[in-house]
Amino acid sequence: MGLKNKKPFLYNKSNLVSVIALVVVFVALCFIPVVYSTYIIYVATLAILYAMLTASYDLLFGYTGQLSFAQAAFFGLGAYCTGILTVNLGINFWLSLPLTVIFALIMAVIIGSPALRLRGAYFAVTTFFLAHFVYLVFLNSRDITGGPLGFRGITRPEPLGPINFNSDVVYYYLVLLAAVLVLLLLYAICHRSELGKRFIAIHEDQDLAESLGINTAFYKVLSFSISAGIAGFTGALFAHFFLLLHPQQFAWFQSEMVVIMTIVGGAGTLIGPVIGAAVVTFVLEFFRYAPEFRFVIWAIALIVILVIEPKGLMGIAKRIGGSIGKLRRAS
Amino acid sequence: MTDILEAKGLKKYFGGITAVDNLDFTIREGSRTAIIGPNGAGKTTIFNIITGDLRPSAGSITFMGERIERLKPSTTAKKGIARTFQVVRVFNNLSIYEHVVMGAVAKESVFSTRSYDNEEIDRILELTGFADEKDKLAGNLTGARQKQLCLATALATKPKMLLLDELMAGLTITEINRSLEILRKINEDMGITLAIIEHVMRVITGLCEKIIVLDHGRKIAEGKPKEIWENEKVIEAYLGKEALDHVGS
Repeated sequence: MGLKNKKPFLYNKSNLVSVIALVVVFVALCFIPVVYSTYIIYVATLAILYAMLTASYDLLFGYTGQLSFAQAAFFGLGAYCTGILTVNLGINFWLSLPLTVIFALIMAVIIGSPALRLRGAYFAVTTFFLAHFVYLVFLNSRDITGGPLGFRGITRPEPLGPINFNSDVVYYYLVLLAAVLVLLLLYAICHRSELGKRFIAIHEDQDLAESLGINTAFYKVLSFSISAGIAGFTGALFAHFFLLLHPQQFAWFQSEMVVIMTIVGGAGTLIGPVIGAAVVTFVLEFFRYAPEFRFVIWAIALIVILVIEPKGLMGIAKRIGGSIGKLRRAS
Repeated sequence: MTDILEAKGLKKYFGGITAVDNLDFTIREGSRTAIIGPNGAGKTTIFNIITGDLRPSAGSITFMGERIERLKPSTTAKKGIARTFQVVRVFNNLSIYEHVVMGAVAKESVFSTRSYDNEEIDRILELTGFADEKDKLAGNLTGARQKQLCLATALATKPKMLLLDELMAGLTITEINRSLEILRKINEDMGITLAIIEHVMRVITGLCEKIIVLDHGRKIAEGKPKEIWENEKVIEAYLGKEALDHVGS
């Protein structure tokens, strides 16, 4: 056997510019609590949580090519799971967090194994109904979830030594750290591992991938489960941030928002969906005074972005980058 | 020489339609076998059954002494069966180089620490004529080149048997001649058994030692090219009974 070939195997070859951009964004995020008010910290925490959720969805949709409308359902399963574990059973947050991830993984394997036998639109429709089913379970299992009255009593995580998470600023940094770790994990899976190659192959052509010896059924369920596990993890962090859970937060339209955030940012780029989530969360917050109006603006914005550049914000950024490069070469 | 593949009593129904009807055939190890027949004779169905894309309604397939008719395509690929598709299939957004790497690693487990052989990949790129353009995206290639890329990708899986489904359809004479040369090298130098579905006579007579002729899912003739062209049943299947009368008179 020859030398291991280290050449990156990617959709989007990472370059210095995007690394620098990410570092700049990260540093800026670190300074948000220093500069801004508690309200901005609150919105930023939400934006980072949605960015994690959307990034986890990009693994399934952008890289493995499976359109699912159930990402918020796993987000919700994670949130309610940690709620029940910590409030009803009195388990420590730091123990409940890994248990929640395991629960989300198991649910994803149970649901994904039969559902992923379907392809394309059939799978998408199945996940759509799954999301609604999970929503109805949250809504109607009053004894467990509190139903429409919401699930109360969740507290911030127990202190870790001198670090007390009751402050919003400290919790913000916890979420930021988790987001960085999740993104690094997803980047390693999608762009640096043997696993990512197989996911991309399935996205490109499932039948060809199978004929080459890739067990597509297995890898599709694996991608679905990793994605759901991270969604559950994010849900747990959300639960201990928001402290009150309501079925509406995890309803089918939240799953749709995740799909929209991913497409707006640029599916299959990992960074794109993160930007998409941040942009969408902030835009929605700015138009909080006119809740119905938000959806009109949002629909128009989505159509405009898809007409101009189907690859989303990342595609637009690349185009701008490309024309700057051309100008530089011309001068 | 032993038989690498043996099919016995193979049947496949699609609802009320019989695509393959009680078919027996063998393919010798290291041989070049053509499967021919009019459109709808069941040729591609047989390939799909061998690779596991379809399950047979009845009958058995033995590959290197192992029953394979109930296995998934990815499992038959791991056992050493590679194929190309009649309708060209490539990973549009991946480069040529990435295709061949994908073929080389697809069978391995994700946790395998075995790495692929760079020299082997270069050799395949060289053989199939992609050495100079390995960074091109597959989606930007012409149809003919994409077919060649299918062959290169299948080859990278290091198969024992290669199923080629109309690899030459739509190619120019020059391209066919080049492909013939490549196929001969694959068979003679690399020792890979070839099973070929083809309509281009030049390929069948120029390359294959044995021809299996199908019509309506049944085997109507089997033998060396020369015997086949003189077989009355074959002429009838391809050209109709009137043509046979005409030849006879």
